[in-house]
Amino acid sequence: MPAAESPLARQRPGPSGRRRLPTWVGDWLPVVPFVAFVGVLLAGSALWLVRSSFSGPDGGWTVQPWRDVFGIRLNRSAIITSVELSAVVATVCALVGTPLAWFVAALARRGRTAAQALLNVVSNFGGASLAIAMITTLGSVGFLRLLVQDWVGRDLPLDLFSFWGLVVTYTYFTLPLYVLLLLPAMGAVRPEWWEAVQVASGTRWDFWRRVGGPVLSPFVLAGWVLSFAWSIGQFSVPFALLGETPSTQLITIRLGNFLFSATGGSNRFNRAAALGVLLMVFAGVALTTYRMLAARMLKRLGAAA
Amino acid sequence: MTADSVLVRPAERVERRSLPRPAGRWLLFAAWGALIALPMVATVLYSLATVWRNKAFPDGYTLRWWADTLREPRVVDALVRSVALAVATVAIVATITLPPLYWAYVRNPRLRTIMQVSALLPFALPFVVLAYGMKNLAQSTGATRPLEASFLLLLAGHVALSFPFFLWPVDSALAAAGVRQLHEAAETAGAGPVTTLFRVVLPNIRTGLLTGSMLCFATSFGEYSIAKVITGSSFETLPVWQVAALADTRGNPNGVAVMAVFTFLVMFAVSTVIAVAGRGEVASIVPGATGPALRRR
Repeated sequence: MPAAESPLARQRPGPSGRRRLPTWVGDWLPVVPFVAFVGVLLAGSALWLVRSSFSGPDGGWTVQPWRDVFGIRLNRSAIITSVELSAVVATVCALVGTPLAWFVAALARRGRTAAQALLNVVSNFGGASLAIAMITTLGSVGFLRLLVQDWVGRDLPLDLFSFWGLVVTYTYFTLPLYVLLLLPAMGAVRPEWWEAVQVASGTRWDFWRRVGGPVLSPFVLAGWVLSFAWSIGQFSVPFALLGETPSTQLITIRLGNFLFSATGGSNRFNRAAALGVLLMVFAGVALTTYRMLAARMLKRLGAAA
Repeated sequence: MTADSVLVRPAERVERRSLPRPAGRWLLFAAWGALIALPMVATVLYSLATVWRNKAFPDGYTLRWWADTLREPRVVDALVRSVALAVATVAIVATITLPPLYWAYVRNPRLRTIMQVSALLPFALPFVVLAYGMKNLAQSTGATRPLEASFLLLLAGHVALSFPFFLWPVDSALAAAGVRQLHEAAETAGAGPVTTLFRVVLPNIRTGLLTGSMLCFATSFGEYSIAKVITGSSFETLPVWQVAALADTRGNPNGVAVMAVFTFLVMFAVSTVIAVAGRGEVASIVPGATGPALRRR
């Protein structure tokens, strides 16, 4: 669609410039409610959290919340577990999701539509309902557990409320998002290249190692980064799954503890703010990386088209 | 049989043009499909089971849990609240997002940059963090303090986090429809900007609007953290009820399963509408994937 770029190229309107109002009012007026609503809320909240993470329960300036967040073992281990969990989930997504995205993209149009609809359902199927579904599947009297006990006669070696249980749960809703993200990228690998590899008597392995892999690598990396960011900020799923005093601690669970129960001392709200800022930093770094990769991806797609 | 297909058999043509497709892909699809379906099947079974004792399948099936749960006032109230909240969210998002986005295409392209950058912010702010920040922000001034735990702040939070899901599909649709040319044509015919927006532009981006509204609705409908942090049990939405009921050991576990299946059906309906409306287009519904360029495949 060439129309996609053209409006941006033409900066100034022609005939619509004749207005009673000053030009800048006409230029910017429609965005005022949007900025007032979204900008003030999002940016204001972010700034307020940063300020709050450097203050005590009665105001003032202090780094105590940060010292508590990194100094207390429970918080520190929660941070480490969160990072590990998100990294494992993102890696599983990259390893399994990339071939899946490739196969979905290779389907005929109708199959692709169906697959996308299904992926949409699953990626929207988060939060409380997902936790419930996981408990009915893998919980202590879950369907799969009973099935394995009844048919195989052995206990299922996976505890839903452990680290690996969380990996399974997170992967369940992150993998479809990853595949949806990678789908458009699959067009960057041209069928002609496979022909070229075959002409040069290369194998399928050669093709993926020397052509397909390198072309797709920034997309895979970008998908990894987004899956990581998406996982680390999850609150509703682990909170619904694990409750308020779980054996597996995560940043978001600690944050919930500080907010909803009286743990964490007198400055618990400031500690919550510090954890919030920490999550913002993770997500911010991830998104910046993603934007940089996206620029490279677009160039690559442009070259391929 | 046309002459062409006799000369070059279709199967051969496909084989030659296409990239390697290992036969194992259907196995992979099947395994993945089973994994996706398993929790859903389990939840459906649980919502229909009479008694389920240490067997692979329940002893019997009943619709009693469905009838009971959908009649329980607390559940019905929560459901009504969630739907109302999601509808209000979509309405506000459309009202504040659509005019500036349209204006960005016909008058001031810089608006689009501002909106796209804002659309990344909800992803840099995990929802629970955003909710907590908003609550704190409201507490900080005397004028806004009454809002601290109000429905209005909850609604504002839902708008702030779900507008990107509306923005991306609508932005792609506007780009694809060639809105600038439409606008110029309408202006030549003597239409003002508001008339053009409603009579010319909107009918041309119906698919994008539908997709955006549906995604926005789904996001708001399933969102837990904002409601939990801001209003808590004073405005119990469906997800808040679900988590509370899940934690309540004396509660009604089958009812919890019923509402999980219900939520799943809502999401399924939403996705079906999107798929039918989009007719298999690869929709760019993910952050910063910069729709139009990626659609060229």
